Amino acid sequence: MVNSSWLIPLFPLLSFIMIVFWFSKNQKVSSYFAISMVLLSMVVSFGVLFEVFANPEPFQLTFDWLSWSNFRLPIGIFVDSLTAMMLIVVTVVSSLVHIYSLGYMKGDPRFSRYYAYLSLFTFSMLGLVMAGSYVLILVFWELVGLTSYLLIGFWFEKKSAADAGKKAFVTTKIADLGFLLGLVILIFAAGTASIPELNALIESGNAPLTLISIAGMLMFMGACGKSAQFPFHVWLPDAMEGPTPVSALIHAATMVAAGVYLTARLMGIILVSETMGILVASIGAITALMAASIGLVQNDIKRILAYSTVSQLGYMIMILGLGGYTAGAFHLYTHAFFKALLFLGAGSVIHAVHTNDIQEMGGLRSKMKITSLTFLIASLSISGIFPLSGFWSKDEIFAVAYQGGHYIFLLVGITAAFMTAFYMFRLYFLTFTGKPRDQHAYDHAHESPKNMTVPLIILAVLSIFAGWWGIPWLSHGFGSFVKFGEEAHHVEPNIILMLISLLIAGSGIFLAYLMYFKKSISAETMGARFKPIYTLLYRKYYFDEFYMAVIVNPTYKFSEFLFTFDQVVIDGLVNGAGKLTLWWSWAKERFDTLVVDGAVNGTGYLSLALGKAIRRTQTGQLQTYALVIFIGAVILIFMKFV
Amino acid sequence: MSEPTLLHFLILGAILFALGIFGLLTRRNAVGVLMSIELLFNAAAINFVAFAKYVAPDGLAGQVFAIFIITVAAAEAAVGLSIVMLLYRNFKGIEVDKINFMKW
Repeated sequence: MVNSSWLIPLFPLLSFIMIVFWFSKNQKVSSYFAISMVLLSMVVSFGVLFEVFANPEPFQLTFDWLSWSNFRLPIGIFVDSLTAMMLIVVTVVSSLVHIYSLGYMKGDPRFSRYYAYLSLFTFSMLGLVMAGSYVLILVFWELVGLTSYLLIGFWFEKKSAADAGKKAFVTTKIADLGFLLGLVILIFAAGTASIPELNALIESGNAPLTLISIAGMLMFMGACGKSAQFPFHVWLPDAMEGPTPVSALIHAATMVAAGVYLTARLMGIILVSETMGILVASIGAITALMAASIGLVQNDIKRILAYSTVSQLGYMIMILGLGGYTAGAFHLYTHAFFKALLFLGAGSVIHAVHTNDIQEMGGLRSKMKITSLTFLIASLSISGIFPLSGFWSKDEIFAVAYQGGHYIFLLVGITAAFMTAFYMFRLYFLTFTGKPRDQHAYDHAHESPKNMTVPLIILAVLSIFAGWWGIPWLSHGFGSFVKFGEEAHHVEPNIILMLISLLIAGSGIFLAYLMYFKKSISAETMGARFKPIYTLLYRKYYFDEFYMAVIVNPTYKFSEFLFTFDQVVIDGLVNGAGKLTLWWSWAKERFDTLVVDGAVNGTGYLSLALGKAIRRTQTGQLQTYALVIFIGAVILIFMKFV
Repeated sequence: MSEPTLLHFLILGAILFALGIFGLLTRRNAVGVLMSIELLFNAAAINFVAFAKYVAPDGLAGQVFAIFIITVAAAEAAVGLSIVMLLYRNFKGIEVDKINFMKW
């Protein structure tokens, strides 16, 4: 099965091609074909997983893409345990989103195109996790960026959606510049971009470590862009303008996890220098804390989830920086399911009430039983409540931080966990409990159709049980499967830490319960009392304004300057050259008419005048001619004798 | 009176030729012009025969040429006279100095 793993990305690619070229007119065929192809990918992925599980030796398929003299650029497939896990995450979430979209996107005029984009995305993402060299990763990296752009701006008639797509694309592109630079330096320094070769090189200790570290740092910058880490996090909340299933698939479960995946792949480089590890961890920690705090006060259901995603990705990056390869991957794995579920649940709610503002919702529990129940499960899971999957992965993170003695990061993690529990339940209580605040929307609310609720139920099951694979007492659990290096990075189960994390999550939920369910603490009074902090959080630390003032506007100004420069100097030069040419042509034209044509015409005139003169001899007088002939003959004869 | 020599015949031919040329250049009547041309032909024919007799008496080339000249002269006279006929019909006259429509 693993030998044919290269087939996995090709199914969605086939679907994309078929839809674009043949099926686009027929919505039913397009969507069912896309779904069947991604399901096929999922089946093969499971086959690959089981085989890799039985034989953890990485599978490689390499060929040289470019080679001349002693430089070569190999590309190929590299399937190890991390890839196998990512394949499962991507194909499962993608399949469910494909099915869910049947209901959510029903009646959209660009339904087929939507499925084509989804297929293209799935292809790119699968290619990304299977790529065997950083060059190939970069190719798919840009492809997922492209599909992300296309899908965020899917409803491009809306200006905000088009702008959001542009913002996402430009922001990630700036970060990708780092990736590209890093890649070039890497190839220059290490002479290879192949993942296994690079890891082997670093292990052998012959590598130029300083340069490789710099390269790794720059490539991590690309990962920051893709995973919406500080300071590139600004695009992800705006990306919520896209269709909600897309947010679930791309901007929660898979594409944004690509940055985490890349960081995990770069583990060998990160572990080389401690400074770099701390830097990575710090960025993750800052992001986790900042995004979680912004999430506390937002009112747009999808934006809260977006900040939550940013925060959780921060967790993963942080723990990867601290060397917790298994913990980071494990959190990525569990997070994909419960965050996808949260987004799909939010989509179901939006589908029912046609608004994103949680202040206009409320009391939906009685109307949307399945949605509210699955949403509750996902919220409990992300908050880290025993024994749901989020609990195990979050606990693994805390345990790694504790064991490594990184108490500051542990504190950050716990604080963020508290905030996560609080904002998730604030969201839950405001949406599903209490009195409906918008009676009209409430009256029209209804449970979503089966093709939307069934994926929710499946994801809810996964949100509960997927994490059990990583229960620390398991002898052949997640930790012995996805690991870095030869030895399993074994983390001691720490019951006290578990209890603390449970307590923190519980108190977060309890606070939300008091404020938004029992209303014994008034949210308004709290907001008023901490007005500056509230505003600061509500305005998202003014990041957008800051970037607007420091980067976007100066860029505009600079562009305007360049425009003026272009208009005046460059165009002046061009126009001047044009004028000069015009003048020169005029001069040449005169020369042509006067001199050249003069010569030609002159010849003509001369012949004419000569002819005029000579034709006088043609008198028509026969006898004159005879005389001339006679005289000529006489002259000839004389000349003969003289 | 001795036997006539080649020179005598050549002088006769030259006189005939000169007369022919004079006639050709001065006659205004087209028929006169044609007649002058006949004189020229005959001068040439006399020369041919004279040279044949005195210079190359073994062959008959000179005599044959003379016969040819007479034949050509007859044909030329026929064509020339018919042209003169047409000229008369079209111009009511056969004065060659009047007939100058072939000029520039």
